Amino acid sequence: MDGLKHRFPRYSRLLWLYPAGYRMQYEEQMLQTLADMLDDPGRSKASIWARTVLDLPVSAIYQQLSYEGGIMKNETPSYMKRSALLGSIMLLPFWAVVIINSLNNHSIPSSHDWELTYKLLLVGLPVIAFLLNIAAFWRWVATRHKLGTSYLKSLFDFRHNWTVLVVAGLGLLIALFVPFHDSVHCLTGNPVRELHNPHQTLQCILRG
Amino acid sequence: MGKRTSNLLPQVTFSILFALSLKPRHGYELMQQIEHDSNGRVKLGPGALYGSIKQLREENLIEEMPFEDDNERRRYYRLTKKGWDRLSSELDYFENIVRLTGERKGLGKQFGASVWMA
Repeated sequence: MDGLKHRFPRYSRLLWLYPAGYRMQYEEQMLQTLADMLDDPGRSKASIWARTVLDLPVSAIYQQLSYEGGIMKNETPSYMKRSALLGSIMLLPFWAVVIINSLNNHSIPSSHDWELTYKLLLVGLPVIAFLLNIAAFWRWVATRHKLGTSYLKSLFDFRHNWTVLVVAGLGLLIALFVPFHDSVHCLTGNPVRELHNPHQTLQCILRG
Repeated sequence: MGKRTSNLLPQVTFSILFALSLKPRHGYELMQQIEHDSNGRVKLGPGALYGSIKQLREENLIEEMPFEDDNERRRYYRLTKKGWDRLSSELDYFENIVRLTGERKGLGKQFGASVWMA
């Protein structure tokens, strides 16, 4: 296959956009098929390249999506998918409050009235989501490290780890953001509503 | 008439099964046959072709087969029993459509419909 990789260096680099398992099975065949197409004297090389280049992003995205959807289950461990899904569900109350506030003109009682619920739902669950996904991420990194993959490489392997990192990041942001609002005593009502007024939020922070 | 198991196959999927009904083929041969069968309407790139091949293999409609070729990088595919059944069921459907088309053409002529006269 090295010969074909040398013949089509850019195209073979672009094939890295596909999931690893897919590449292992079809990379060689895709390169060979492209070579066969270009070696056919009855075909216009420009149209072959145009077709191949246009076809690549669409099929690569489709394969990445179907791969993330679980067709190639052996590539992303199930505990990572499970953690990301559970974490996303844990963040739902936060988004629900934001949406309800937007629709009902901040009708949810002030933070003093619903402090416990607020702490549990809007801070506790995002914290759990963060911890759960960081733990899954760490487990995955440690497992790969045992098999010889460096920590740094695993950290930047976003094709595999983006789900847990996104959920962990969101959980952390929400968990830090909401209590911070409450602590600066800038809010007269529901702390979450300030999300809709970044200018006022900034003023609050500056006033301390 | 074969029993239909689900909805009609997508065009590319059908084209691949149809192209493999004549003989086992490798990727580029498949592309050529599909283009020929569709009068040049269906032109696939390697990404779309192998994406469909992967899906068909997962559904056990086609399989890779050992085949002697000068170039060992070329992999040949053939229909499985399930693939033959599925294709046969699909062709039955189209056969019925063609039969109905013939009947309705006659009906159209009877009532002077110009759309069928050509």
